[in-house]
Amino acid sequence: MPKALTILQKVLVNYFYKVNAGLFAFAFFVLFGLPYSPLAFHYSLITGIVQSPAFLAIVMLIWLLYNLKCGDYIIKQLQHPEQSFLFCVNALPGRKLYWYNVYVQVFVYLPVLFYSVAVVVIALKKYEYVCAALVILFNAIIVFATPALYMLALQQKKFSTGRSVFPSFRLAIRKPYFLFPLYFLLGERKQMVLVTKVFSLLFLYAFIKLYVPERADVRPIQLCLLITAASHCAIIYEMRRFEEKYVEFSKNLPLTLIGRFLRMTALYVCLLLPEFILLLKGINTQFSLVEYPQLLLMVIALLCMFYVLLLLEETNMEQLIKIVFGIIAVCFFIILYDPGIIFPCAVLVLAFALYHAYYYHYEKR
Amino acid sequence: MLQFDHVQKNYGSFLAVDIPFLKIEEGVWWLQGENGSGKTTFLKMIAGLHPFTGSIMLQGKLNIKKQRRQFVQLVNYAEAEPLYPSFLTAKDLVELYCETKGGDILVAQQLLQQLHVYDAYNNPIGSYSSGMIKKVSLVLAFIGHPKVILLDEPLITIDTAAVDTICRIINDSYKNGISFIISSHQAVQSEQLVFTGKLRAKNRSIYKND
Repeated sequence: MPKALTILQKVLVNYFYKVNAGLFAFAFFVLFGLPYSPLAFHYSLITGIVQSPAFLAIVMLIWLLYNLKCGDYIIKQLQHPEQSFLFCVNALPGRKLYWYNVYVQVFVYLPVLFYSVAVVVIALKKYEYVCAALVILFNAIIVFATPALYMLALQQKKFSTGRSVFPSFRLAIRKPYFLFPLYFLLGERKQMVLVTKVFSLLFLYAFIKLYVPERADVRPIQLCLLITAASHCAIIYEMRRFEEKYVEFSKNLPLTLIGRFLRMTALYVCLLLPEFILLLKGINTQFSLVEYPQLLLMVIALLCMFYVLLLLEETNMEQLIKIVFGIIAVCFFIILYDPGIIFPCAVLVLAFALYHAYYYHYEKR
Repeated sequence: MLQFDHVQKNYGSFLAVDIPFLKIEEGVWWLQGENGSGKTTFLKMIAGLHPFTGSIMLQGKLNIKKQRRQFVQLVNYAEAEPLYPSFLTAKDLVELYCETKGGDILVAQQLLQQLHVYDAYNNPIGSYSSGMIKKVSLVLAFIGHPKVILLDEPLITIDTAAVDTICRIINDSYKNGISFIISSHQAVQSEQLVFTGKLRAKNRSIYKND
């Protein structure tokens, strides 16, 4: 492989997957980790895509958003002062450089290309030739047009304002300390927050709308909320990484441990506010008003527990997902016995005990 | 002022710092040592940022492990290469430090003015140069009512005028009863700072270099 291509692969492609490992692990969890056959699920999903133009349009929009994320990342990397040495590849012939950029684009866009191949194969099998042609055309435009933007970035041409394609949230009001991770998420991990929240809210909404029991029973919605909590584990992971890197100074602030823990629970209340509001729709049909606080406490306690897991030792996203699955499985059986408010209280107390024991002892290796 | 008893710091199985016993009196101390000799680790342990075994006592009565909140109330720290969330402003940081450390916002603002970074007070840190971030981190270390300020390489990254200003602020603070431990590879002129003594980081330990 030519040296210039090797360097582009290392600097752009490999690093892209490294920094987005959390997002990919989360996407993998959502798409393949649910408790039913992944093959049957994806076959039905793709059948729906090829047979419904509206569904196909939504999927293409998601692919486009993913490409915007890829493009945004690559262009930012190319314009970053650390990568200014890449300017030297401009000495290569233009056509060669373009194909190098196509190579970069293909590799960062690979997850979509894999899925597109499955969509095209099933579309052809079902004689949906227009759908297959549209998918091929759409991806061809993305794969061959986006590298042109990378060429401009390599030549250090300012073709954009440098702003992200997503709007930035900048408020003039004072930022409370406990909300720092949330500001970070809304500024730097918008796509992850969007994907998590869309999934979590749709799942909760569909459950409340479609499942109408004869009499209110809190347990089914509790099981549903276990999935909601689990879907937030990638966000918790990113917030912890942010704290480790940028808020290490806060350990030198004279705050009590209980104060720090309460700030964390307040953060999760803010993070879960959309779900908590949506949950109000289930009062009387799914559960009684008295049981509402118990549900909120359970999700908050679980998020606190996920956070504390990251203090026990340095854990990567893959390990965290495995542990979260284990916790969800245990909680599933406990909830079936209807433990009431005792269950979330016990989880919260356990989370605080571990937080107390490990917060100041944790150290990034 | 500070007393270390059987303090050890391991990175995995590697013993990075081992201080059987050390007593540091009040004053302005120059912490010297080669790269990787444990200077930053030593300062971070005192600041409460790194876990360790053994005990560190302040003023003979406050143990960092038992009275952590009171201890860090009196010990401030500025990192060699500070990192802050890019969306925060200097104002956010100053207000946070004043609220928790109990300092006066006006004093902090005056220090920022003296270091010529007050104009960017309401701008996000992401728009600052590395020198401006360094100046903000130095100002944060003076907020509140500390007894000890730990400065890790305070004179790097900043311009020569700011070096003079920082040295003057250190001298003024020392006259007001604040002690300093300053790590620096740069030779400091005697008219800028007068050190009480030197601390030497060597052979995985910290010694007084009399």
